[in-house]
Amino acid sequence: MNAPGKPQTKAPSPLVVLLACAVLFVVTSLVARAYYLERQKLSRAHFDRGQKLAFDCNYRAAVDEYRVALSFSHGDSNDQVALARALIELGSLDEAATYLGELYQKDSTNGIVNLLLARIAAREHRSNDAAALYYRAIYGFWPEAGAKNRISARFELIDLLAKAGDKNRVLAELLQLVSEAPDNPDVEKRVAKSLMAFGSLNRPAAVFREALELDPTLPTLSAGQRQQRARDLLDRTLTLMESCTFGSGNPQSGQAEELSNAAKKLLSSQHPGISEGFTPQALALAEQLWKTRSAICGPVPDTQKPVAIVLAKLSR
Amino acid sequence: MPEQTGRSQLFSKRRLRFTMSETQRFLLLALLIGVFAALLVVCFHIVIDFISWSSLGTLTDRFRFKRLIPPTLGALAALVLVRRFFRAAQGSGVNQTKAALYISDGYVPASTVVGKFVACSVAIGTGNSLGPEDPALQMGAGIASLVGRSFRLQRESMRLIAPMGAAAGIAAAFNTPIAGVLFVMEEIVDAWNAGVVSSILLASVSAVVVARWFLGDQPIFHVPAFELIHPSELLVYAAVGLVGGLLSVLYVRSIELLRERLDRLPKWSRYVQAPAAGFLIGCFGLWLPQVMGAGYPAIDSALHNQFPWPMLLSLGLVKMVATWLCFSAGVPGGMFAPTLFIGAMIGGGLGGVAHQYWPFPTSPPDAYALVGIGTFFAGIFRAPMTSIFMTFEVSGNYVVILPAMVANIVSYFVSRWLYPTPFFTMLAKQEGVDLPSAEERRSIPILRVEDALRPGNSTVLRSNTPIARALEEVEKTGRDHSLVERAGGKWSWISRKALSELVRDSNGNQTLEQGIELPLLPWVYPDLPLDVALRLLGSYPLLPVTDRAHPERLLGTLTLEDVHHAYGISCPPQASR
Repeated sequence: MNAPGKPQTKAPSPLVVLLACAVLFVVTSLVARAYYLERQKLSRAHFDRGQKLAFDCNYRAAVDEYRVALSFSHGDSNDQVALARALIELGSLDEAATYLGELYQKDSTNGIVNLLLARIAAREHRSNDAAALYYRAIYGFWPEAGAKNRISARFELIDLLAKAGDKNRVLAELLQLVSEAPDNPDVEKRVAKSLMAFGSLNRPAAVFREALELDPTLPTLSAGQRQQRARDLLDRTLTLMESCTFGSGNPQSGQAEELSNAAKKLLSSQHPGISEGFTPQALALAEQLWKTRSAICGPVPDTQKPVAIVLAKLSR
Repeated sequence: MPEQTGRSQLFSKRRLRFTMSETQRFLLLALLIGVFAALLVVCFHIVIDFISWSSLGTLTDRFRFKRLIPPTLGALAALVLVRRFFRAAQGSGVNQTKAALYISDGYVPASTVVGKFVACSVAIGTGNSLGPEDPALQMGAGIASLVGRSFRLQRESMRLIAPMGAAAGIAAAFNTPIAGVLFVMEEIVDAWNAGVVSSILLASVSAVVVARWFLGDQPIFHVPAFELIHPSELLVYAAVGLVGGLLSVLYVRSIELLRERLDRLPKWSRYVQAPAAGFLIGCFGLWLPQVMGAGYPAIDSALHNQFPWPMLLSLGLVKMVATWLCFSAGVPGGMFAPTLFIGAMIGGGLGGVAHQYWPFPTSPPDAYALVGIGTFFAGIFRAPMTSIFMTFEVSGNYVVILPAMVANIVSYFVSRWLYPTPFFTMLAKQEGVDLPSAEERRSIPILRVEDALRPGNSTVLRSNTPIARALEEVEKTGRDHSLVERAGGKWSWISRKALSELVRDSNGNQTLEQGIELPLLPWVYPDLPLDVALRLLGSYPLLPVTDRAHPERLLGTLTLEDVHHAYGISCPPQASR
């Protein structure tokens, strides 16, 4: 090692040092600006290349391009999402999960991040996690095309539930879908497709139609129609409850009786015309009755499926 | 006339107000040094990236054979620069900074800064497997030395100014203020007094602020969420530390041996060794381009589970060989980034194996890569605190502290046990300079007062003892001096000669305090370093050793003879008996 010797040269004056520091500051600012722009340019170029490759389904090459883009952009969230999406397509779920995990830490309400995490969970057969993440994606924040993305996410959820054989929840989600996007031919087409996926078209379609006619939460309904449907729903739930708890001797039947009495009172108290507060009260009571009935008597017969679907939707 | 006096008084008051003490000036300069060093490090960082983009392109470039030429030419160019034009810029930046501290009173030639900047940008930018932190550290020290000289600091301040710049340089390069400070304190200065720590902290913080201003406040790595899944994972982390420690010993030894071998070759062969090393790096880069350059993007990829465990282990081992070749062949650049790379890859690789075969649930390999970052660093540089805090700083996650502590401490102890010579000490010795190692200094046992004290209080006189009796008692002990206990927990001493004279000249029935003015004696505590007592024994013939909790309670006495005895000096120059 060349150990530095004692100073041979004259030291510069403090003014010169301060001046040098100021000059270096200006130079650094200029260089840093150029550096930043160059990084942006390179990142954009590689990202675009990645997008093209992903569009052509060449995910392996797309992943490489996105990785390079990400190394230039210092963790830009668009690059991370694009990379994660391509990685999921490639089957590199662990790596995709780490990028998405980082984004999730930054913003847990991000719709696309939740959707991609849900897809990973679904691919890893973690159905409950996947369903929860799909819900977070559906109700999460989408900076653009929110409605379209939410519908798409709900269809993925429906596919997941259908694979798990949870027919009630599938029909409940379909009902929700129709209520959120009424008169949307694309949605109707996909709803029909989903119904067909159950194997028999006629029975699920009939159940679905009946549930649609019973659902008091459809946004296209007038206040009067909504009240009428809430009344019908409560009435049918009460009937189901009474037929099930009659003489059962179940310890919960005391609570069931209380709820039944409250429902009867509410039904008999209704005057002609729209009465304020009736609909939410009736729906809340119907939901409670349904829960109690389910605890005491278990699943409903097939003929009452529409009620079950509407109440499943309400309870969610 | 009175008016003039008033003016001059006012003037002198103003002067008083604007005159700064050396410490104040030192602290203010710490800020300036931090800013100045960081500006230079930012430029250094940017220049390396520009050279890398233009010479190597990116990982997705199709014509990969072009990776062979830049490291070869870059290594040659950098070597020519440091051997022909900037000779002072050769060697390790840490050792250069130590030399400035211990040999040259803080002097680091300005040409070192320019030399390191140019040569290392070329070498690292063209893909040679070395890091920018050690050069950044030395550039910081060079800037600090320049600033200190221009502001005409005193010698003691000048000595400390180079480490201050070094801390600023390394903190700006790593974007980790705590690790920068700790490394300098652990490896270079080894002094924890308030003035030194605060000035180094100030320089480090101002450097990081400036670096973040220009490069963004993004951390050096984007670290995913970290959690300890199962307590048994700590065993796996300990294994990561064990392997890191073993590999670090192997690595240091192999560097030592290869450098020795290459040094024996004719001097002209240097101009072949460096480009040959560069060419080999290019060859490695054909298949594993991640090992080229500092390798930070690859560490980031490992932290995102990009590589399967066999690939992680391969990357770690190939990087070891690549850095070993570059460093031993004298290509200018630092070892910090490669050690982080190797640690991360080896850690991640072992984590991947554990994830697959460990009987209990474990974290994915990225968690092990994160903890592994510091293990190789701790094993090689023997700076465990720095490596632990660096892992913490780059992850920003407190949960990582426990596994990082386990892995880094195991690595540190294994490495220290198998090869006690620290890396920088080994390098300095090879270069013919004997620089102190902070680690070695910390391990030197300190002798304390308790190791030398003569227990008991048989020779203590009281201040109300009659002079004649006092003389008798002192003569019985055979010592020249005796302690005198005074009221209020104070101590004095008296010599036998003085007592004899008092008995001869006055009434022997007088008490000591009546007969003579007894000088006060300072006392020492048993836990104080013997050095402190030794300084006092220059002025007093003996010292009382008392209890800290009960200062009036005498534990023993201490004389120069006792100190000599504790130090193993058999024939003291002047016997006190």
